Amino acid sequence: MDWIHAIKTDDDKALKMLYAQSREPCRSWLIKNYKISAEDATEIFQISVVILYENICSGKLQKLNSNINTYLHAIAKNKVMELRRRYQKIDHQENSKFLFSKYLIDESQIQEKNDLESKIETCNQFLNEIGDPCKTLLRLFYFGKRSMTQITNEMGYKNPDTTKNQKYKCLKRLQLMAMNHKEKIG
Amino acid sequence: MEDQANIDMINRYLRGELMDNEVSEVEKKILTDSDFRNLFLEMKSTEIAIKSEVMSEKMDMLKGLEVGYTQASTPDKPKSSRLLWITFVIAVLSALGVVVFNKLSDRVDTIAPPSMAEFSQYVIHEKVRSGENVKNIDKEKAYNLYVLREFELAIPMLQSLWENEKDSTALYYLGVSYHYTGQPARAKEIFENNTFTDYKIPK
Repeated sequence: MDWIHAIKTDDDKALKMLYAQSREPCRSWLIKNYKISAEDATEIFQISVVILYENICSGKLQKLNSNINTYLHAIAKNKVMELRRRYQKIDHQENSKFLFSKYLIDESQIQEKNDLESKIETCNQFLNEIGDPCKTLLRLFYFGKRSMTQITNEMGYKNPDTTKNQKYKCLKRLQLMAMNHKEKIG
Repeated sequence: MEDQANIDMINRYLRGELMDNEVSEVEKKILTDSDFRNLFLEMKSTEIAIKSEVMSEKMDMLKGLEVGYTQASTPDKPKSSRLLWITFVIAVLSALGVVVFNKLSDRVDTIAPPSMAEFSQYVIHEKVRSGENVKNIDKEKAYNLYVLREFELAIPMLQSLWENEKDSTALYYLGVSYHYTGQPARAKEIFENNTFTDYKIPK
């Protein structure tokens, strides 16, 4: 099965199939090799599947040189090491969620982590309010790494320039929302 | 206009689409021009916020699948009570066999997906426990999709397991899957032409 193509074209269906196929092998491997609890193994497996998904959508992973399970195991192994270093133990409290934004900041090794973290927090608040078509457009551009031409075709805009203008308007709208919010809170 | 050009430049930088000299130009501007640096951080934060939002949604979806696994894997019961339970099911099924099969022909086309608790009665295989090796990945995948009630995805795999390996559990699961995907004629054909005396037939 061409997992990369499948995940790119029908992500939920392919991810569910990957989950069903790889869940036990990966969890068993983690439990056996890293002596972690079944609960931690499940969470690390889930995080690994999501990271694999992001790697495929962002174009970081374009071709699999090995079995998809081997690739997942490699991500999972790195996650176990990293989480051990950082948290000693994964927190399973009800409200604790793995922060993908922190993971992405770490990946980009950016200097201005603090500035960025507060901006991300603000941006997250307004992404839910911005609605469509902006939300879909920005997701296709930033997450799906689609070109203006691809977005034009997928969203039915007149031409790539119109799409580019629409994207600019959406970003400005987000900026404005963030500015108003900043003024409000003083 | 300049703002739009800067945004465009930063986005191309973030996507790795710039030439080497343009990359140097952007990096120099980030260091020397505070407005440009601020704009860069805004674009970068937007990118990360969007990515993390999508990733969190996918994580929630996977956690939802996991709930299915947890609810479907009922804790191991003592062998004696399991035996009693099986005997009870056989007795009930034998007594109601005729009624059940008659009712099968009266099913409506669309059937609401069962709750996990209700569905666990149609899960008959021994699940692989953590620490055990998975011997047949295709079978594991098909069974897992069935347990997750992802019938549309499970059907072709179950069909292939039955056709190629004569896996009777897969055939039973196929019948149940047809039942819950609004294909009563196919489900009926499977349940009527095969004997599943130990298993529960969906009404």
